[in-house]
Amino acid sequence: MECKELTGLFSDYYDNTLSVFKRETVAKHLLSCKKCNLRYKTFYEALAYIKQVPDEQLPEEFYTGLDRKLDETVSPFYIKFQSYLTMRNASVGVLGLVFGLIFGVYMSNSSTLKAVPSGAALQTSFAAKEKEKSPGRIIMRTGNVYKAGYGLDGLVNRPDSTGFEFMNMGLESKQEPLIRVLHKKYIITVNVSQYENLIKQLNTLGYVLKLPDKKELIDFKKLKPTDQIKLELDISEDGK
Amino acid sequence: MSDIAQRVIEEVSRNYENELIKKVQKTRDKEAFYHLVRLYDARIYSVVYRFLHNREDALEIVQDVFLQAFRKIKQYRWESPFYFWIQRIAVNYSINCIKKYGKDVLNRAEECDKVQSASAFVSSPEQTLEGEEKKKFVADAIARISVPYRMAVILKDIEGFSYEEIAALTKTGMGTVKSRINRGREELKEIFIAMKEEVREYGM
Repeated sequence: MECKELTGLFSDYYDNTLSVFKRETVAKHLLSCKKCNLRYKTFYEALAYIKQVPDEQLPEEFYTGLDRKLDETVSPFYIKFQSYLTMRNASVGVLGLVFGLIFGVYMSNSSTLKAVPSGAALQTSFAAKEKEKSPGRIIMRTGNVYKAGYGLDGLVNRPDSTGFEFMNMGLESKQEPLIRVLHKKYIITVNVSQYENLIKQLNTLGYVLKLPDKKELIDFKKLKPTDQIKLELDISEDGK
Repeated sequence: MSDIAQRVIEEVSRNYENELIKKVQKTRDKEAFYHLVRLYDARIYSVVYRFLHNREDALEIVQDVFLQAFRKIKQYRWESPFYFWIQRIAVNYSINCIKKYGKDVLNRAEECDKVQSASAFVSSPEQTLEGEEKKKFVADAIARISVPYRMAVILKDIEGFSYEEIAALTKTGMGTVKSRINRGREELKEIFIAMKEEVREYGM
């Protein structure tokens, strides 16, 4: 065996994982070659030396740091924000909220809609067999739910819960071309028997209805006159 | 100490450890977890410190390792010893740290070397170094091993894990582990020779 071949075998020889034959060959070479013997001795000593070394000592701050990290994990999430909860920050937050509310209300009141007959966009969809206790009721929605009265002669916003001015969208009243938009989205629930009247009203007002597709028509034919239909009207801000 | 006494002590400590683990798994009891941490803190810290060769980084990593163990302790399935389970987290974290901040960590470690090595080699390293000096000498020597082989050498020759265990800890194949240990040991031998020469040359 040559010295070169031995270099890669030190580790296996040390671990005793060589075959008996190879092990004997290496042992013989180590006995006969002084240079290799010295190299293996250093190899052996280095490994023996690092094996004896005691464990490192943990610095004292280890447990304080771990304690802090564990507390962060165990404590509820709002504890993290506790340091930000000063009187100054709280008052700024409340003021911001009040201004936000005022601004929001102002913006919702100021948007207008031009009642141009051909340009008005109207989308309808209905959920069949939607049971409501009082038939013919109109529900109007803009995030909140507003109740409104329903008469065959016109669609009428009921002023009770909204706080807005009474608004008549009916045929007879002949509204001015510029109508103030109260809500962008209307959900109207009517009986099947009243559906045609409602469509007529809306058509004469100038809104173009998107016709129900085939599947919706099949559902529609199955309905009884007392079943209710839910119509959803989306009116864009500029009325198109 | 007789074998029987040794076995009794091992059995008692294993039961104690199991009780602690069950308690933490059930109630996430912090006190019980601290008892558990105290069983392995120094060993885990030693492995991480010797690999990174930087006390601050090692401290941070070991804290994160135990924090992760606390969070995921319900996932411990009793398939392997608890120490092995924690050690796996530690090895993952250390290797990820080197991968992520490799250059920074090694630069900082080199700065530490310059400060520490002079005080470590008081005289011939193997014979007269004691306690802290011996630890420093070994830490410096291991830190000079190339990163890919360093962890394998630490786990095999200091921690005494088997090849199979190291393969499981480092998520590599047996062949890779063997070759890494071989090369790491060869490097360690060369480092020891070089260090001896340094000591002689500077007469420290």
